[in-house]
Amino acid sequence: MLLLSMKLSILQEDLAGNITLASRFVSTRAQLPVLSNILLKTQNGKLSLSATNLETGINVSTGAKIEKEGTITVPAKILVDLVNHLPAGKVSLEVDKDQLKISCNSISANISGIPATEFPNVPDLVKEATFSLKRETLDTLTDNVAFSAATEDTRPILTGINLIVGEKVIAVATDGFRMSYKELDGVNFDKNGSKFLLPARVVEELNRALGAKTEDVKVAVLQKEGQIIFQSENIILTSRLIDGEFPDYNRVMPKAWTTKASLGKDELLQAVKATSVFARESASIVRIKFDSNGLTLTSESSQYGKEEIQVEAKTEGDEVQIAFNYKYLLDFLNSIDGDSIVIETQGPTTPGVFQDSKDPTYKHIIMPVRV
Amino acid sequence: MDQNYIWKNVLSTLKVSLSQANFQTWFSSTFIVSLKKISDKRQAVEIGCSSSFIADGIEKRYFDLLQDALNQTTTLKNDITFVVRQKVKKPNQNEPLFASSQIENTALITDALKRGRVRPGFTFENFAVSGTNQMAHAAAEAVSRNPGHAYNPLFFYGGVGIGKTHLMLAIAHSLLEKDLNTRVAYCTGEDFTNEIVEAIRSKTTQTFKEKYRKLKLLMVDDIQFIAGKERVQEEFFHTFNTLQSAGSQIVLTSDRPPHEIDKLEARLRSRFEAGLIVDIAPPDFELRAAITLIKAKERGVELPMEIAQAIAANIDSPRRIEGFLTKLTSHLAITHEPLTVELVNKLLSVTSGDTQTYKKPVSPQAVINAVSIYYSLGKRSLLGESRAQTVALPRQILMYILRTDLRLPLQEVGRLVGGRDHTTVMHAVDKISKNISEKSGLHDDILGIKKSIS
Repeated sequence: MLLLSMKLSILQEDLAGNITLASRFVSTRAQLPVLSNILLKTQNGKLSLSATNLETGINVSTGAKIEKEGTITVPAKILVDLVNHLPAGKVSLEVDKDQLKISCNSISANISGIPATEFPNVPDLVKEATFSLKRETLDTLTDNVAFSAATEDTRPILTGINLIVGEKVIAVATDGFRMSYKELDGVNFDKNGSKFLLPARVVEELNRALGAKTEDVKVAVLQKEGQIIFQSENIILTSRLIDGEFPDYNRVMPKAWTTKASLGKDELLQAVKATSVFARESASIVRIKFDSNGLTLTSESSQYGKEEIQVEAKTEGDEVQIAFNYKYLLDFLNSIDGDSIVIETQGPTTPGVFQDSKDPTYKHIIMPVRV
Repeated sequence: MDQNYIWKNVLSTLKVSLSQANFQTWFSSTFIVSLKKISDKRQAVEIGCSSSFIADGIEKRYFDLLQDALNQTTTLKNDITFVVRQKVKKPNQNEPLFASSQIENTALITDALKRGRVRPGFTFENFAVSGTNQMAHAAAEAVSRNPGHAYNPLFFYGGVGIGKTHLMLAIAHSLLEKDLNTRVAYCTGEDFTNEIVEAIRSKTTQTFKEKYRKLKLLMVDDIQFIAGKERVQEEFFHTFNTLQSAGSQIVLTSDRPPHEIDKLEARLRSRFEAGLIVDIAPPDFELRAAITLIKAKERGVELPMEIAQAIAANIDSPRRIEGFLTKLTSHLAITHEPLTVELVNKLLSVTSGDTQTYKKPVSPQAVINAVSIYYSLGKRSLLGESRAQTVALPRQILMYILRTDLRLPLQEVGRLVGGRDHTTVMHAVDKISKNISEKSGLHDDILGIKKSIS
């Protein structure tokens, strides 16, 4: 089916949003020109857009008035810039040979494209859902878990979120310095005992792509193809699953504490932000002293000076001083909704557990910095 | 042909036909997962691609090209399938979070073990498994996964030093690893007896009851010691019932199966027999070698395989293997001699001298009789001229035993075994001592013969 003569009209508002979304999945350093393109295709009275970097792919569709069916691929960057500069209202798209003609009112543009046959196959449908995710659950996964995953590709396994489906559904992510552990609800799963690693970045992208949508997300896990597909209304996001054995989170989870502190989230957040002024200049280190008076945060830079902040807290157990990377503390504090937190630790060389005091299902573990 | 080699050739062929961009995009992360010959002219090839996009893309665009290249390189017809597989790098266990907490948790587990009077260091990881103890190991693992439900009680029996206690403690270790607050207790039958006697004397039977009846896992070693002690058996009976009805796991060991334990109350026996009873046989040669390697590693010594086998061939009890390793390591530490098979053999001969299994001097005639009975060979042919393998091997074994265990002079051995030359004897002894470490059957034969003499 080589229909190159596409002709349709669509609203600029609809088109611009979708093209911007799709363009996020185009590979940034594509060696193959077609991979920096977006595929435009007419389908069931809709205009469907696809993009992929061969690891993740997206398909997003929107209603349009279609006169002639057809397909083409055009460079994402050009298309995004062009469409975003068009005035709101009706836009007509027309394919002539290898060119996409875009016109509205007084503007008319031609973009050189590549025939769609060159474009990889991007799934545009979830045939059979393995489970469904509530929209809020995806939010939680992004807020509480995804940020703990590693971002560099040198440790591929740690760039994933480990989803373990047993009696509970557990999500774990770690970059080797900190770890998020979250028991999820709002996951509707039939098959017990499965577990898989999905790229944390994909979860974040999906969450962003869905924006204010509130519909449940259908998820298909294709273990054999090593693929996971998410569908919510008109957005279908496909990603590969990460291969390999995720580290055992149980081994990392501290099993006891010798010092414990309960305090307000905002107080600590303010204090960490303030101490970061000097910490930024000295390996991001903030020292926290736990004693019967509460917490004392200090940061020091040999060049610029030092700072000390008292934070009121209810403490139990031993007095101790522990050095943390302030960025990890900020990430945790920004990840929770509650207004008070609990910190448990066994000393300056072992991981500390940070918790939202109202949410026992979420545990965040941070490894202290050795000083 | 090696998979990597084939794939390299295929890739270089493809590189010629494809543009650089296409080649990099589609083929840079591919590799051969498996090659399977179907017939003389056909083979199945599984090709790993990093994502299903890539697999799909190659299949659609380059299938023919790829097949041609493969056929050409391997000179076979290739059936190609694609799988999504990434070349996996091991997660780095040196990440600070994983490295530190492992040490920390080990310390915590050790504490918890101490509370339950469990000796640390006995885990499933350092338990070697082979045919003789496979069943016991599987049962113990099942119990540790599902305590109180899988097999309750679990009853191990067998001789000394074969790993009954190790398995029992490994269950405790594994449960504590999962949850540090699991209440476990280990005691021997004798400890249990003493504690009851003490409790009765000091009128604290209530504390005793509370201590034992709230456990999640009770392990009693050498349960046979409580046999014949009426009050102890009664107390144990009640403890047993309380624990079992509360869903707690009970693990017992003994040197013999329940029905052979004399003076064990019938109601206890029937309860023991209601669970799973597993016997552990003495370790075979391979298992002893594995145990030797594990124990040596725990002492920080990397033993070469041949040395481990030499030790395993000459010592049959794991406890004595441990003893020998202690001796070996201290010898190495003191003398700074290099670790060689010769040194080990030297030490082994001293060891076996220490632990002579013969209590009274054995006459050479007794040995000749034993060998001839063991192999069902007439004495005439055993000491005669025939060099057939079926006779020659028993004869060599005979010479080996006469020489190494009875310490007879070479010429005397030669004279006893049908008037042979002393060099023949030397050859026989050499051959057997070399083979004994390699062929486990031989070692078992010699042990059998020695047993029949003493």
